[in-house]
This record gives sequence, structure tokens and C-alpha cells, in this order.
Amino acid sequence: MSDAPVTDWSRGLELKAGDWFIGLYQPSPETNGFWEGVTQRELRLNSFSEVHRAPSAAFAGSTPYVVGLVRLEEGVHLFTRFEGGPVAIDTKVTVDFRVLELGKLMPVFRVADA
Amino acid sequence: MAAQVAVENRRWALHHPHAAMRHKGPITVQDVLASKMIASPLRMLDCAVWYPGGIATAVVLTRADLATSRHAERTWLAGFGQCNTHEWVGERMGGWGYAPFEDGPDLIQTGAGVAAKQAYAMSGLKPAEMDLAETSAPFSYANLMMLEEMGFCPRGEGGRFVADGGIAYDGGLPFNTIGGYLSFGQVAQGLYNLKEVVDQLHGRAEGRQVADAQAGIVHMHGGPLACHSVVILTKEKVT
Repeated sequence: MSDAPVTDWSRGLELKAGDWFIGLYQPSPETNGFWEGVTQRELRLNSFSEVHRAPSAAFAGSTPYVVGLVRLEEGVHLFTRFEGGPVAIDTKVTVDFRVLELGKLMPVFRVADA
Repeated sequence: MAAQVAVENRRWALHHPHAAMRHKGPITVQDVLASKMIASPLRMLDCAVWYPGGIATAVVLTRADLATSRHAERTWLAGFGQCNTHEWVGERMGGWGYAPFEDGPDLIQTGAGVAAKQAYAMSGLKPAEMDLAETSAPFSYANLMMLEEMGFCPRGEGGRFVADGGIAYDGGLPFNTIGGYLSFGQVAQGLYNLKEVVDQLHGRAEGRQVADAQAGIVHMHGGPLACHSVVILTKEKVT
């Protein structure tokens, strides 16, 4: 686990990276428990894209990076970041945590150990 | 076949005086596949370009009797539909229990199909009766989806439809006659595409006129394939 401060999602946050409103993660009181629960589950990669062109300067040092959908065994989907090597559709992934360009500690996903 | 969409869009754009890519010349499938990777599998020529600028579009909508008595040139709103499924991309797979996600979310349907069905039902017209179609799809693959959503081919058949010449500049369905978002540019949420159908119905699409155009369908949307409107316009009153 990172030593970065854990964000208080409880009131919902408008997350920005530089001048770019990401709009991808919108935690709210309703989803707060879900985000905490994610740490306990096994997840599967549903679709992904490797991003080569940074949407803003804040991402310039990160390309190429991979984003996509994870399907939880319960059927819920997350749009998220993938880390640590090649991924493919239906790869099993597990959650990890990293401070992303947003400056917040965020869940990311990586290929699960066989 | 998504790359072929970019090729066909460019062919139309070359004939539009305001298209952003009109001076760039024609492109080939090989050009699309060789352009730089933006976000896999989408390459640069799979993506919308900025709108050309200097464009403003306004629409006057009025009652049939006023249109008939006061306006020499009338366009008829034969049918329309609307369907919004989400706002942000992170919510794209969050829909459950409402059209078109009655049985849960997926990545192959959008609200455009629901909106198109509403518009066709209201107009009494069928996809085969459309003389042209315009979409606000901002990526090549999304154009294939919208061909399916607007009923020009079954779901999953967009690629084959295009491969078989379904939207070929020569002889296919006139599709994105301004050049589409890929070669005209991304104009607002698609209002300029609506204007294009009006121009086509009244024979004002100089250089790219669809012969004897009587009916056209327009798909407009906002957000990440989130909020969709579909409008069917006709030259003569049909409903």
C-alpha cells in the first residue's frame, strides 16, 4: 500500500488532472462502500484500450497507459486503469492501489497471479 | 472495415467547401491503418477531427399551417426519437432494466437504436426509404454501430455492410455526405448534420447533391455515446 493520503470519498469529489475534468471516477456516498469493497474481490478484464495520446499535459509522462472495463464476478463493471504488463480480454485481474495523475490514491488493476 | 468508413467519409468531404479535411486529399484503408496509434485499436484517421470553425447552425421549428402559409421552402419533421442512457463513460456499463439495457448493460448497443426506432415508428418510414443518413459518430467503429442502430443492417453486420459497398461513395447509401465527424469535423452535437439533410432535400448540396433526395435520417448525440436524438426529415409531408 502507498503512503499517500487516503482520499475521503464520502461527499463525492470532482476530480481534475490539471485543467482536465476526468469524469471517470465520481465516488459518492452511495458508492463509497462499493469502492472499499472492491479491494476484496477478484475481477475480470472486459475491454481495454492502450492510450498513446495524452488527453492533457498531466498525462504526458504516462503514455502509453491502458484503461478499460473490469467485470466483477457479481456482474458490476468498473472503468479503470490497468498496470503492470500486457492484458487481454477475459484476463483475471486483481486490484492494487496507486497515486494516479489525479493526485489521488486510486484503485488500479493488474494481471492476477496464476 | 472500420477503416473503410474513414475512406468513404473523406471522399464526401472532398466535395464540401467547409470540410476540415477537404484539402487533405483522398485516403486509403492502408493510410488509416498506417496512421499513428491514438488509443488502441483506434488510429488517428479513425478519430474525429476538430470542426472547421466559423460555423453556426440554427433551426426554426414551427406549426405545419404556419410553415405552409409563410415559407416557400419547407422541410417536414416526419419523426423523431430520443434516448439517454448515461452521462460519463464510467457509467457506460451501469445501465440495467431500461431500454436498450433491459437485460443488463453491453457495449454493442446505445440509445441511438431506441431513438431510431421511435423516429421510424412516428414517420411510418423504413430504413430502406432513407435517401441519405448522417451520424455524429466520432470514431470509425462508432459509425459501424450507428449504421446498425439506424437499421441499415442487422446488429453485428455493420462491417460486412460496409465491406459489401453499403456506404460506397459510388452507389451505396449516401452516408455522412458532409464528410462525417472524421473528415468534416466534430460540429456541436450534430446540428450541422441536420442542416445538411435540409440542404440535400432542397437540392442545395452543391458538389455532393444526392439525386432526388426525399427523406433523410440524422443521428445526433452528446457525451460518450450517451444522449441520442434521431430525426427523420422529408421533403413532402408524410405524416
